[in-house]
Amino acid sequence: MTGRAEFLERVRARLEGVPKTTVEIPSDWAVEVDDPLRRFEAELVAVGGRFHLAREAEVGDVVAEILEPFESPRVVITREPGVPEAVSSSVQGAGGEVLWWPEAGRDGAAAADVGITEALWGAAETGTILLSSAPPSGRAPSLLPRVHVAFLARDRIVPTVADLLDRVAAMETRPSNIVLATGPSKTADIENILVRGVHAPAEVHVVVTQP
Amino acid sequence: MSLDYDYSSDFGERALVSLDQPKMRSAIKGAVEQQAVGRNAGLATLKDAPALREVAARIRDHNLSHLDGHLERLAETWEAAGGSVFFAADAAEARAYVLDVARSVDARTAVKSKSMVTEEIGLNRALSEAGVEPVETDLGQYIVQKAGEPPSHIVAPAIHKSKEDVAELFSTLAGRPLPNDAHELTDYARVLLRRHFLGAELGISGVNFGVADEGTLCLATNEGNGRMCTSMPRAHVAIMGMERVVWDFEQLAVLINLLARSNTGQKITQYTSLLHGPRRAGEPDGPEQSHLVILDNGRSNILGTRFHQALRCIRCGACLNVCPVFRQVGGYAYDPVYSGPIGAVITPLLKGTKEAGDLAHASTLCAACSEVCPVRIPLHDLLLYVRQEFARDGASGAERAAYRAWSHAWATPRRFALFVGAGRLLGWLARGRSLPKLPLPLLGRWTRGRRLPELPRGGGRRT
Repeated sequence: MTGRAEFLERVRARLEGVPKTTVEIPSDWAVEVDDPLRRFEAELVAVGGRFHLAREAEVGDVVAEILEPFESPRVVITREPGVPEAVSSSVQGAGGEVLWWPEAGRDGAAAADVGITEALWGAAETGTILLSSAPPSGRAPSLLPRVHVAFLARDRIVPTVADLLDRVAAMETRPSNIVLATGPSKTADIENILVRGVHAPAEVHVVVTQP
Repeated sequence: MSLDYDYSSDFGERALVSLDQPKMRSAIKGAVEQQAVGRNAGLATLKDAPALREVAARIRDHNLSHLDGHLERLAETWEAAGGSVFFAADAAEARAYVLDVARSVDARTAVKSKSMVTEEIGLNRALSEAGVEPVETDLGQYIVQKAGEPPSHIVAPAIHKSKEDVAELFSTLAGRPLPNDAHELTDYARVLLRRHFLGAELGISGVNFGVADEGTLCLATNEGNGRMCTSMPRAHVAIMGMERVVWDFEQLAVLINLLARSNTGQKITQYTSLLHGPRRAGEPDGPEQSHLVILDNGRSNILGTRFHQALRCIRCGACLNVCPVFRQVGGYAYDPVYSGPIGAVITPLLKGTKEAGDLAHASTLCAACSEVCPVRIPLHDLLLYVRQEFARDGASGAERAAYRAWSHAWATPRRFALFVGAGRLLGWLARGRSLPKLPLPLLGRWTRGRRLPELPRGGGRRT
């Protein structure tokens, strides 16, 4: 085995004579966003996601509407602070079975039709949401069910993806996994024909909550 | 169909195989043209795309000129996040390390997210031989794996297949007829691969960018298979070509903004995962082990040479999509790992110009590749340099003699006029017919399908 020191020494030796360069990244390269909420909605819809805007009292109705096509769905709900309390009773009201995460475990999430989680941040420029694995969030509820419903607070929509990365850089403790998710899973690997829902959720709802 | 390609022959021979496959050619042409159009539309959504590409090129030059320091920092921060790091000088070392990890978790199955670097090191074969079944999970990659073929495009591996081809393949796998419908075929793969995701002990991925100062690996996928491979199995191994390092999130943001736009025109891929070691205390799920393999395998030979800028590459595939040669012959005519203009540059550099320098002739030097490159690699210049090295080290004695004779014939006006006169005579003899296939090793292939142009009197230099 070559080992780290020898590997890096070889690189160093090869770079002798290559001038060390620096780079100034201009602060204004990113696009400007006038109305983050409207832009977020437009971009999310453009990539095949569904947008909902709800005041606290309307959350239950929105969940019921999303679950309407299902007959007695199994729904995994995370115990994250961003998921409103009204959600579980709304699921039950729609004839659904509630599986609490993380207690339900991976098997529970894998068996669920719908996963309901929070999103920490959103980016207007692309309709992207930021999902963190920090406890109690984890990874499976937003990944395994065919439908993902994410709750995002309105004041957490930042203009661009670069802003999302700034928020990650500023996190005090970094989770092992952060996903910037933009609409449903998709592929065009067969004849360049767009198909939604390959491995991750085929249907993505972002419910933006406002006080 | 790839079985007809002989990788001990040269690019020209393999291109002829492609040219005989009209179905594959039209599939490739359609798909890459669509992507090339998407790319232009995608870049137009940036505030100032040309300026941002300049910034991206400077970011990559910064990373490369400090490569030793950036890699050392990445190793430190990844270990601080609880991950393991292995520096692999070559393919054999990288394979051996991955097999060690596989053994440590008693792996029977390894799910893989599409990664060209694992193709480069021949990982699947090594896994199979060690009794670990490698399962490709990117839909296109899964299709070519099941068909027993290498990928034909670094971003869209099954770009050469029609849905009828896929239906036939999947019907055989399923043991029942599946329709010629992209949605139903994708659904079949979802169900099948889901079992593998939940059952595999090992997940293997590439790395789009290693973020040195943040201990973070960035992985961009559209299907979600990257999330699965890095989240569901007990152990995850990420394999990264050593040049794929950036310093911080500020640099990463610029490159993320260019990567997907340059490829399909999307503003960002569906999923951009930021991995930071194995699952932390209290996190409900995620891998217990996270390994990072940093691979040299010939890359350090490129550093500091006139090919240095080739290492800026972020593997977006834009140069493939605009290349008139790639559009005609597809990925298989190239080396099976890296195709298109970037492949024609780096394959000879990684494997040796003597071995693979003929790939540099897979170019018209039109510079469309350089024109679209998000990190401004002067690909057509580099292709010329590869040709020079090939002419020096790889060309046959006959070819060198031919060029010497040519140079002699054109050296004085008198000799040039004689030369052109001879050409006119040949042209008159051939009169509108295709040239015959000459029984000569070099000219034989060149004359196939070519016609002589009619040369003007006086050698085209009348005053």
